[in-house]
Amino acid sequence: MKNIPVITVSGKTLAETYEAALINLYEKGTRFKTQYDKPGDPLSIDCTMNMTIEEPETDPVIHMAFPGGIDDLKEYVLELKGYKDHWVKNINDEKDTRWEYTYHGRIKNYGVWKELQEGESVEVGPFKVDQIEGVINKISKQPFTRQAQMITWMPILTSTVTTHPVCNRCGTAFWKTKKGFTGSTATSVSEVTTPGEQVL
Amino acid sequence: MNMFGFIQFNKEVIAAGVAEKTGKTVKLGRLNWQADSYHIYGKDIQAAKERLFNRVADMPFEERTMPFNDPFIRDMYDAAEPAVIAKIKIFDERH
Repeated sequence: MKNIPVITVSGKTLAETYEAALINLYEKGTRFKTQYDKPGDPLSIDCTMNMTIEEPETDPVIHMAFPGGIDDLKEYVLELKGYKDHWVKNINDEKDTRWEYTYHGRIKNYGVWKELQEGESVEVGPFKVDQIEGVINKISKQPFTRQAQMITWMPILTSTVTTHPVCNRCGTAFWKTKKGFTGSTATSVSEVTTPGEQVL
Repeated sequence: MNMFGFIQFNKEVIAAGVAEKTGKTVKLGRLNWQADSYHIYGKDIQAAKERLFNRVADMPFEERTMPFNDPFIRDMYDAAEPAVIAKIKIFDERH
Protein backbone atom coordinates (compact mmCIF):
# COMPACT_ATOMS: atom_id res chain seq x y z
CA MET A 1 0.00 0.00 0.00
CA LYS A 2 1.35 3.41 -1.00
CA ASN A 3 0.81 6.07 1.61
CA ILE A 4 0.82 9.84 1.15
CA PRO A 5 4.26 10.94 2.44
CA VAL A 6 4.63 13.04 5.57
CA ILE A 7 7.25 15.73 5.00
CA THR A 8 8.78 18.02 7.61
CA VAL A 9 10.63 21.23 6.81
CA SER A 10 11.86 24.11 8.92
CA GLY A 11 13.63 27.37 8.26
CA LYS A 12 14.46 30.71 9.78
CA THR A 13 12.17 32.78 7.57
CA LEU A 14 8.80 32.40 5.87
CA ALA A 15 10.22 32.67 2.34
CA GLU A 16 12.92 30.09 3.03
CA THR A 17 10.49 27.63 4.63
CA TYR A 18 7.81 28.12 1.98
CA GLU A 19 10.29 27.39 -0.80
CA ALA A 20 11.69 24.33 0.97
CA ALA A 21 8.16 23.00 1.44
CA LEU A 22 7.31 23.40 -2.24
CA ILE A 23 10.54 21.82 -3.46
CA ASN A 24 10.07 18.89 -1.08
CA LEU A 25 6.49 18.50 -2.23
CA TYR A 26 7.59 18.50 -5.88
CA GLU A 27 10.43 16.04 -5.31
CA LYS A 28 8.86 13.68 -2.77
CA GLY A 29 5.11 14.14 -3.06
CA THR A 30 2.85 11.39 -4.34
CA ARG A 31 1.27 11.72 -7.77
CA PHE A 32 -2.38 10.83 -8.26
CA LYS A 33 -5.61 11.91 -9.88
CA THR A 34 -7.84 13.91 -7.55
CA GLN A 35 -11.59 14.47 -7.72
CA TYR A 36 -10.89 18.00 -9.01
CA ASP A 37 -8.63 17.06 -11.95
CA LYS A 38 -10.16 17.18 -15.42
CA PRO A 39 -9.56 14.52 -18.10
CA GLY A 40 -6.13 15.11 -19.64
CA ASP A 41 -4.75 17.05 -16.70
CA PRO A 42 -1.35 15.92 -15.36
CA LEU A 43 -1.50 14.03 -12.07
CA SER A 44 -1.71 16.22 -8.98
CA ILE A 45 1.04 16.23 -6.33
CA ASP A 46 0.20 15.77 -2.66
CA CYS A 47 1.77 15.20 0.73
CA THR A 48 1.18 15.90 4.40
CA MET A 49 3.39 18.85 5.26
CA ASN A 50 4.65 20.10 8.61
CA MET A 51 6.45 23.45 8.40
CA THR A 52 8.16 25.44 11.13
CA ILE A 53 9.14 29.05 10.63
CA GLU A 54 11.54 30.00 13.39
CA GLU A 55 11.37 33.77 12.93
CA PRO A 56 8.16 34.71 11.11
CA GLU A 57 8.90 38.45 11.18
CA THR A 58 12.47 38.17 9.84
CA ASP A 59 13.19 38.85 6.17
CA PRO A 60 12.91 37.59 3.58
CA VAL A 61 9.23 37.20 4.39
CA ILE A 62 7.82 37.36 0.86
CA HIS A 63 8.53 34.77 -1.82
CA MET A 64 8.06 35.70 -5.46
CA ALA A 65 6.12 32.47 -5.97
CA PHE A 66 3.37 33.66 -3.61
CA PRO A 67 0.13 33.96 -5.56
CA GLY A 68 -0.63 37.60 -6.41
CA GLY A 69 1.26 40.78 -5.65
CA ILE A 70 1.85 43.09 -2.68
CA ASP A 71 -1.67 44.52 -2.96
CA ASP A 72 -3.12 40.99 -2.79
CA LEU A 73 -1.20 40.33 0.43
CA LYS A 74 -2.64 43.52 1.89
CA GLU A 75 -6.13 42.57 0.77
CA TYR A 76 -5.82 39.14 2.37
CA VAL A 77 -4.63 40.56 5.69
CA LEU A 78 -7.53 43.03 5.71
CA GLU A 79 -9.86 40.11 4.98
CA LEU A 80 -8.42 38.23 7.97
CA LYS A 81 -9.07 41.34 10.08
CA GLY A 82 -12.76 41.33 9.15
CA TYR A 83 -13.03 43.74 6.24
CA LYS A 84 -15.07 41.23 4.21
CA ASP A 85 -17.20 39.69 6.92
CA HIS A 86 -20.30 41.33 5.44
CA TRP A 87 -19.67 39.40 2.20
CA VAL A 88 -21.02 36.24 3.81
CA LYS A 89 -24.33 35.12 2.34
CA ASN A 90 -27.62 34.19 3.88
CA ILE A 91 -26.96 30.49 4.05
CA ASN A 92 -30.51 29.42 3.15
CA ASP A 93 -30.79 31.71 0.10
CA GLU A 94 -29.83 29.85 -3.08
CA LYS A 95 -29.86 33.10 -5.07
CA ASP A 96 -27.31 34.73 -2.77
CA THR A 97 -23.96 34.47 -4.58
CA ARG A 98 -21.81 35.90 -1.81
CA TRP A 99 -19.27 33.91 0.23
CA GLU A 100 -20.17 31.08 2.58
CA TYR A 101 -17.76 32.14 5.32
CA THR A 102 -14.74 34.26 6.18
CA TYR A 103 -12.01 33.18 8.58
CA HIS A 104 -12.50 36.32 10.65
CA GLY A 105 -16.25 35.81 10.81
CA ARG A 106 -15.80 32.24 12.01
CA ILE A 107 -13.29 33.13 14.74
CA LYS A 108 -14.87 36.43 15.82
CA ASN A 109 -18.46 35.18 15.82
CA TYR A 110 -18.13 31.40 16.09
CA GLY A 111 -21.43 29.55 16.23
CA VAL A 112 -23.65 31.88 14.21
CA TRP A 113 -24.57 32.38 10.58
CA LYS A 114 -27.05 34.43 8.58
CA GLU A 115 -30.39 33.27 7.21
CA LEU A 116 -33.04 34.99 5.16
CA GLN A 117 -36.28 35.02 7.16
CA GLU A 118 -39.35 36.84 5.80
CA GLY A 119 -37.16 38.95 3.54
CA GLU A 120 -34.77 39.99 6.30
CA SER A 121 -31.22 38.82 6.95
CA VAL A 122 -31.19 37.40 10.47
CA GLU A 123 -28.28 36.13 12.56
CA VAL A 124 -29.02 32.63 13.87
CA GLY A 125 -27.11 29.90 15.68
CA PRO A 126 -26.91 28.06 18.98
CA PHE A 127 -24.33 30.39 20.56
CA LYS A 128 -21.84 33.12 19.65
CA VAL A 129 -18.23 33.06 20.80
CA ASP A 130 -15.63 35.78 20.22
CA GLN A 131 -12.56 33.54 20.03
CA ILE A 132 -10.18 36.47 19.43
CA GLU A 133 -11.17 38.13 22.67
CA GLY A 134 -11.01 34.75 24.41
CA VAL A 135 -7.47 34.01 23.21
CA ILE A 136 -6.19 37.47 24.11
CA ASN A 137 -7.72 37.19 27.58
CA LYS A 138 -6.34 33.66 28.10
CA ILE A 139 -2.80 34.60 27.10
CA SER A 140 -2.82 37.86 29.00
CA LYS A 141 -3.89 36.06 32.17
CA GLN A 142 -1.78 32.90 31.73
CA PRO A 143 1.02 33.36 29.17
CA PHE A 144 1.86 29.65 28.90
CA THR A 145 -1.68 28.37 28.63
CA ARG A 146 -2.39 25.54 26.19
CA GLN A 147 -5.99 26.63 25.92
CA ALA A 148 -5.56 29.61 23.60
CA GLN A 149 -7.13 27.96 20.56
CA MET A 150 -9.34 29.24 17.78
CA ILE A 151 -11.26 27.03 15.35
CA THR A 152 -13.15 27.77 12.15
CA TRP A 153 -14.80 24.45 11.34
CA MET A 154 -18.54 24.43 12.09
CA PRO A 155 -19.84 20.85 11.85
CA ILE A 156 -23.42 22.08 12.05
CA LEU A 157 -22.98 23.65 8.58
CA THR A 158 -21.15 20.75 6.93
CA SER A 159 -24.15 19.60 4.94
CA THR A 160 -25.36 23.14 4.19
CA VAL A 161 -22.35 24.81 2.60
CA THR A 162 -20.15 23.69 -0.29
CA THR A 163 -16.87 25.30 0.77
CA HIS A 164 -15.12 24.82 4.07
CA PRO A 165 -12.28 26.66 5.80
CA VAL A 166 -8.82 25.46 4.80
CA CYS A 167 -7.28 26.71 8.04
CA ASN A 168 -9.34 25.14 10.79
CA ARG A 169 -7.34 25.66 13.95
CA CYS A 170 -5.02 28.40 15.12
CA GLY A 171 -3.42 27.82 18.47
CA THR A 172 -1.14 30.07 20.44
CA ALA A 173 0.11 27.36 22.71
CA PHE A 174 2.26 29.31 25.13
CA TRP A 175 4.20 32.48 25.38
CA LYS A 176 7.62 32.73 26.94
CA THR A 177 9.67 35.74 27.89
CA LYS A 178 13.30 36.63 28.28
CA LYS A 179 12.83 36.66 32.04
CA GLY A 180 10.80 33.53 32.59
CA PHE A 181 7.19 34.43 32.15
CA THR A 182 7.33 37.78 33.84
CA GLY A 183 9.69 39.79 31.67
CA SER A 184 8.84 42.65 29.40
CA THR A 185 9.25 40.82 26.11
CA ALA A 186 6.91 37.97 25.28
CA THR A 187 7.17 35.61 22.32
CA SER A 188 4.20 33.79 20.85
CA VAL A 189 4.48 30.19 19.76
CA SER A 190 1.66 29.35 17.43
CA GLU A 191 0.29 26.54 15.30
CA VAL A 192 -2.10 26.42 12.39
CA THR A 193 -3.60 23.21 11.04
CA THR A 194 -5.28 22.74 7.69
CA PRO A 195 -7.06 19.69 6.29
CA GLY A 196 -6.21 20.61 2.71
CA GLU A 197 -4.21 23.42 1.18
CA GLN A 198 -3.65 24.29 -2.47
CA VAL A 199 -0.22 25.90 -2.38
CA LEU A 200 0.39 27.34 -5.85
CA MET B 1 -0.63 33.49 1.12
CA ASN B 2 -2.32 31.77 4.09
CA MET B 3 0.90 31.65 6.11
CA PHE B 4 1.73 35.29 5.37
CA GLY B 5 -1.80 36.30 6.30
CA PHE B 6 -1.94 34.41 9.57
CA ILE B 7 1.49 35.71 10.61
CA GLN B 8 0.24 39.27 10.12
CA PHE B 9 -3.03 38.41 11.86
CA ASN B 10 -1.12 36.97 14.82
CA LYS B 11 1.02 40.09 14.96
CA GLU B 12 -1.57 42.79 14.34
CA VAL B 13 -4.54 41.29 16.17
CA ILE B 14 -3.47 38.68 18.74
CA ALA B 15 -0.01 39.94 19.77
CA ALA B 16 -1.14 43.56 19.61
CA GLY B 17 -4.18 42.68 21.71
CA VAL B 18 -2.06 40.99 24.37
CA ALA B 19 0.40 43.89 24.33
CA GLU B 20 -2.40 46.38 24.84
CA LYS B 21 -3.93 44.37 27.66
CA THR B 22 -0.69 43.60 29.51
CA GLY B 23 1.49 46.59 28.71
CA LYS B 24 4.24 44.25 27.52
CA THR B 25 6.11 44.18 24.24
CA VAL B 26 5.00 41.08 22.34
CA LYS B 27 6.96 39.56 19.46
CA LEU B 28 6.11 36.55 17.35
CA GLY B 29 7.92 33.29 18.02
CA ARG B 30 8.04 30.22 15.84
CA LEU B 31 5.07 29.27 13.76
CA ASN B 32 4.29 25.62 13.14
CA TRP B 33 2.00 24.92 10.20
CA GLN B 34 0.47 21.51 9.60
CA ALA B 35 -1.25 20.79 6.28
CA ASP B 36 -2.86 17.35 6.11
CA SER B 37 -3.05 17.66 2.33
CA TYR B 38 -0.43 20.01 0.88
CA HIS B 39 -0.96 19.88 -2.85
CA ILE B 40 -0.51 21.26 -6.32
CA TYR B 41 -3.25 20.34 -8.78
CA GLY B 42 -2.11 18.80 -12.05
CA LYS B 43 -3.36 21.76 -14.08
CA ASP B 44 -1.12 24.10 -12.06
CA ILE B 45 2.14 22.15 -12.25
CA GLN B 46 3.46 23.82 -15.41
CA ALA B 47 2.88 27.27 -13.89
CA ALA B 48 4.60 26.10 -10.70
CA LYS B 49 7.63 25.05 -12.73
CA GLU B 50 7.75 28.45 -14.40
CA ARG B 51 7.32 30.38 -11.16
CA LEU B 52 9.66 28.36 -8.97
CA PHE B 53 10.96 24.89 -9.74
CA ASN B 54 12.73 25.81 -13.01
CA ARG B 55 14.21 28.96 -11.47
CA VAL B 56 15.87 27.55 -8.38
CA ALA B 57 19.06 26.41 -10.12
CA ASP B 58 19.73 29.66 -11.97
CA MET B 59 18.22 32.47 -9.92
CA PRO B 60 19.81 33.55 -6.60
CA PHE B 61 17.63 33.16 -3.50
CA GLU B 62 17.67 36.94 -2.99
CA GLU B 63 15.98 37.39 -6.35
CA ARG B 64 13.34 34.78 -5.59
CA THR B 65 12.32 36.58 -2.41
CA MET B 66 11.42 40.06 -1.17
CA PRO B 67 12.15 41.83 2.15
CA PHE B 68 8.81 42.76 3.70
CA ASN B 69 10.53 45.03 6.24
CA ASP B 70 12.15 47.10 3.50
CA PRO B 71 10.66 50.62 3.75
CA PHE B 72 9.89 50.75 0.02
CA ILE B 73 8.06 47.40 0.08
CA ARG B 74 6.25 48.33 3.29
CA ASP B 75 5.15 51.63 1.73
CA MET B 76 3.73 49.73 -1.25
CA TYR B 77 1.95 47.35 1.12
CA ASP B 78 0.44 50.14 3.22
CA ALA B 79 -0.46 52.23 0.18
CA ALA B 80 -2.54 49.33 -1.16
CA GLU B 81 -5.14 49.67 1.60
CA PRO B 82 -7.28 52.47 0.06
CA ALA B 83 -7.48 50.57 -3.23
CA VAL B 84 -8.52 47.39 -1.41
CA ILE B 85 -11.22 49.25 0.50
CA ALA B 86 -12.47 50.77 -2.77
CA LYS B 87 -12.55 47.28 -4.30
CA ILE B 88 -14.62 46.02 -1.38
CA LYS B 89 -17.09 48.89 -1.88
CA ILE B 90 -17.47 48.00 -5.55
CA PHE B 91 -18.27 44.40 -4.56
CA ASP B 92 -20.78 45.73 -2.03
CA GLU B 93 -22.56 47.77 -4.67
CA ARG B 94 -22.86 44.78 -6.98
CA HIS B 95 -24.12 42.28 -4.41
